[in-house]
Amino acid sequence: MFFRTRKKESPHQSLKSFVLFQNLNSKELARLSSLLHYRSYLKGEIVFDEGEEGQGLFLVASGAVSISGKGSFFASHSVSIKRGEFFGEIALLENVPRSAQARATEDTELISLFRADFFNLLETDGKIAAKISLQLARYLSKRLKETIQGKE
Amino acid sequence: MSASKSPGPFIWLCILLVTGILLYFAKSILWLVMPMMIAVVQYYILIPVLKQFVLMGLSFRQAAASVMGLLFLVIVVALILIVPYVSDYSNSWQSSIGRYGDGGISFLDKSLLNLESHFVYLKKIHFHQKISGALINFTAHFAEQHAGEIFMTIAKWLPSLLLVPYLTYFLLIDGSKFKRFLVQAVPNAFFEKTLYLFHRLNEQLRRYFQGMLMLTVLDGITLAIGLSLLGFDHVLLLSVLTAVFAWIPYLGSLLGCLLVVLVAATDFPTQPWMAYGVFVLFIFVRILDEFIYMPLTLGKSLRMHPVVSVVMLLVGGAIGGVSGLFLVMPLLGMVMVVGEVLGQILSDQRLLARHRYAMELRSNAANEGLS
Repeated sequence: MFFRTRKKESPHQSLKSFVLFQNLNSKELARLSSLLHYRSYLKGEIVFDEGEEGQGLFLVASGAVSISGKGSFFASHSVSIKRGEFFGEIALLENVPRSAQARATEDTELISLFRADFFNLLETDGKIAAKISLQLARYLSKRLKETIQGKE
Repeated sequence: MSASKSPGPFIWLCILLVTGILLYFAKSILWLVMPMMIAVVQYYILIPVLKQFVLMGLSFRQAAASVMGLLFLVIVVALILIVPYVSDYSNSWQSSIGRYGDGGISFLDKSLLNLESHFVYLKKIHFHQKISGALINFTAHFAEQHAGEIFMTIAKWLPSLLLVPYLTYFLLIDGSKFKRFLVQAVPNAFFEKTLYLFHRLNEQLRRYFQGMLMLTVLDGITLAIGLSLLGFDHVLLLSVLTAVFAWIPYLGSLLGCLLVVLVAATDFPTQPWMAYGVFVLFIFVRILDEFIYMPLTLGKSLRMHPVVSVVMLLVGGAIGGVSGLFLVMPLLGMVMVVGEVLGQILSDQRLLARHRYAMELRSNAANEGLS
């Protein structure tokens, strides 16, 4: 008890490894951390179904998730989402049915950001919400470019 | 999932039953339920102020502390203003209560005699004699039978009210943590629906309590203007009391109206039109409530069928007395939202199948390597 232990990295610092939160400083990460939900899924467990009303986005803290569905895009593609990536982002912005099914392909830890909490953040901590929104917009624009290039 | 899917009769029956059972249990721990209820009301009223402080650059914890400090300051200033007024009038209040009681009985007496003179049937059954006798008997023995009981109830309640600021502060700083703690216990298959349930519950309660406060202010102002136009004294006190009574739907307006009629009958014994003026004013405020104030303040939060409201009020009164009348509507609103969403979850075969599958996976993982 008389030894001073090495200062550990606070749990919310690990959030910085996600692209979506990489522009947030430690104080902002701490604030955001109080809004996140941590969930554990076993290999094969369904995270959400296609057509289900989504309430927010999921970030993969460990493990992997496969996205597949009957829609025009997902019928031919099965996308694998790995550690540090995220999925279900449209549900963060609007109340629409999920466009595909998400299933854990190995034992997985997910972090969820709920739409209502994000909207609340827009009101109270506009700076944090703006930084997240900017990163999300960059990600969506990148995906749009890839889709257009794929069609060409 | 369709959020708008309305619950069936079975779910509604469960909602009404659960509300009744909760009221029954709440009655035995009212010393805790009432401070919690007041703390929840304060929490929803103070949340917009807290958001403003956060927007001004304070941290969440600093903002919560500032809001509570501000509330404390408001209470202290209100007490400084009210205490001298109360102590000045404390002696005259006791006699005033008796005077207004007598005034009310005299008004009723005259009205009953008037009725008897118009309807011979009432005279035959000694209507005036029976009603007046019962009322005089009740008022004569009321003080000796209930004064001690009322005093003991107030003495029992005062310490528990000290819990209110403590509970409000922790709701402000840890409300979201508590929500996350509860959601943690929910199986993965129901996670998103549960989040949605909490969101709806929170929104419903926020709209209801903030709306009720706005409605009380609007009703209070309208009644104050109306009563001062009619020429009443103590307009502020009367309008605040009657506006608070209006928290009890339907029945509250009636009680408030009766209170002011008592005052009118006593203060203006030779002007019966004052009492009728009060009736007209209350009907006017009720119409304003229904068509303008309620849509403006409460919107669609906790708006339910009038028959359901009245039946539940009677049930609330029968189970929990006066406190039951105040508690039943917010409690019914909460149970209604939980019931609706639970009904949707439990009738969603796909979610139940997903849950069973997840349980099987967990069971297999736990049994791995045992045999």
